[in-house]
Amino acid sequence: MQEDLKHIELIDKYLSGTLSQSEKNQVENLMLNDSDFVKEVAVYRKIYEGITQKEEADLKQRLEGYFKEYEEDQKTVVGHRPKGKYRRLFVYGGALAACLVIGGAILFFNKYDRTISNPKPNIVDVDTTTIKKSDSIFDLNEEKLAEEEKQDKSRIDQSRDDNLVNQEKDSIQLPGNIDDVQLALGGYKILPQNLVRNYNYSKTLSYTFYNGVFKLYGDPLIGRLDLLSLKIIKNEESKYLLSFKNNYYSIEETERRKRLREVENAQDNNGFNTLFNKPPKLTPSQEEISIAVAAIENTSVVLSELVVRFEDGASMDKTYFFTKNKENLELIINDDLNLEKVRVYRIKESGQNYYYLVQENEIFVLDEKAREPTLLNIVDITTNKLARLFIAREPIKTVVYKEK
Amino acid sequence: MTDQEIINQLKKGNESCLKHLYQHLNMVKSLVLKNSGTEDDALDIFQEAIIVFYKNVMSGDYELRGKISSYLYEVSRRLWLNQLNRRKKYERHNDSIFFLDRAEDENKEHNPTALQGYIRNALEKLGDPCKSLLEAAIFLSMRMEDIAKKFNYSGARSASQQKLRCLKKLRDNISYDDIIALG
Repeated sequence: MQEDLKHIELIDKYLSGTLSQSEKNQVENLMLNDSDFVKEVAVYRKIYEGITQKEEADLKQRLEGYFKEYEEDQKTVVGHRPKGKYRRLFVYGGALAACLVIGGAILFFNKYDRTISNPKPNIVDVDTTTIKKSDSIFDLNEEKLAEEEKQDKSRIDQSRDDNLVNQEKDSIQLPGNIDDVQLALGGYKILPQNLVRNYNYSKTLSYTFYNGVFKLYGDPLIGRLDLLSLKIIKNEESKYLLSFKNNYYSIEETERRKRLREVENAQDNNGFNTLFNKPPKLTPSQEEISIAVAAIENTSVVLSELVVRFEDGASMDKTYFFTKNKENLELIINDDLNLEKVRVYRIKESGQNYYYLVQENEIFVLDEKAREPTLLNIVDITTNKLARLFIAREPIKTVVYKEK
Repeated sequence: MTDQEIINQLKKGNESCLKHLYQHLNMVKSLVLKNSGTEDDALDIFQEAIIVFYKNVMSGDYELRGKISSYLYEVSRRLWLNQLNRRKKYERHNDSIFFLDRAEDENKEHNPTALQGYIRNALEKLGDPCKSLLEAAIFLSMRMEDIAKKFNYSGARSASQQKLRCLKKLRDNISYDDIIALG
């Protein structure tokens, strides 16, 4: 009997997850070596399941009863209120009187004293907004709901981190319901912020030049033909000059990015004095060089204002939409993104923002105003010139020219 | 009735004051209605939230930090999200081969009633106080100290001894083959 009770205690603790370490070892041992014990665990598991289910069903039944009682209570409360014609008369009369007074006041202030009625109409506004605020918690639409779900997710992630230090239960986590909650929160993932990038489009060019690679930063709309026409010239003093689209720039070897400076006068042209008299005569030298255009990834910076979330397998169609809350813009993408290859870009051009999703060779243009799930559209590069920013370009091998 | 009073009453074993919680039903209703649910859905969800709340109060896991109403709202919201997710999955699966899975799931949902009935019988045979004690200990996860108070045992230690004896008594009326065959 005592032996039985001991086992039952172990099983009870095992099923409720309250075994101590030494008891855990005991249970593991018994599970391996005692087939009767294994059977007993199975039986008690069923018993616990059965009791839980039965009690839940019973409680639900009783709750139906409590709900009816509550509804009855409500009725009687209403019933106790004064009733009859007089009460109604009084209420309507009061309402009418109030209308007259308020209406009169509005008329009066509007007509005769605009300056007095105008100064601080905001007081009313302040009131109404606060009421709305507290109401809006019960006033969620699905978008907002999804939104909060995501916020909660990170909150829970955080609290999980906290748990490493502090074993106390967070009130937000519901004991005994954690699985459910996590299930509910599953689905959306946040795109790592370093994959969300901003690029300020500008036509100012800069460059690096080292180890035989001349790399252009800036206007990536430079076409291949432009690149091919680009010439690097070296004079007798081993100074370099860049000839590009009929302009000359003096350049030097540098690992740090430098702005391309157009050669404007004779003093500032790296000793290419002949330049301004007549076009230099150039001959190819033995020195090889490769010319590259910096990929946008290296020239853009992390964009922290935009949060991108994505859900894999959410639907058959690949869709996206933007949501906007107080200060943040969020982009929701219904597609499984490949974290190795995907980037979301915001390109700023003359005060306008343009959004793109780039996954390997696919470029999708995103409309910031899309509030409903919208199909992801592959961009047409011939009409959308900004999208050319995302095309990777192979470096071009060329030779350095010499002045004759 | 204040929040604290409701909790005190519940802990005293006055379960019927759960009815006061229904005053918060409306906000859950508006939440569910605005998120593609019906009034019945709202009532179901709210009821489940009450059960979560009640179990947590009884097991001592619930601490009155905020309002009960916001707790219920929060739990309902999550339960409803969960429900929506599940429905979404079913919808998606419905038009494809997953249809079979659903039928299977439904079967699983039906079987437990058999287990319920079986346990119900066994508990009736067992009678009180064992029946109530096991329900309190297993369904509500009440602490042994609280159980001792409720059932007039000298302390947590003797309450847990009592629980084990009750479990054994219940087990003696159950056949392994029968119960394993259920669900």
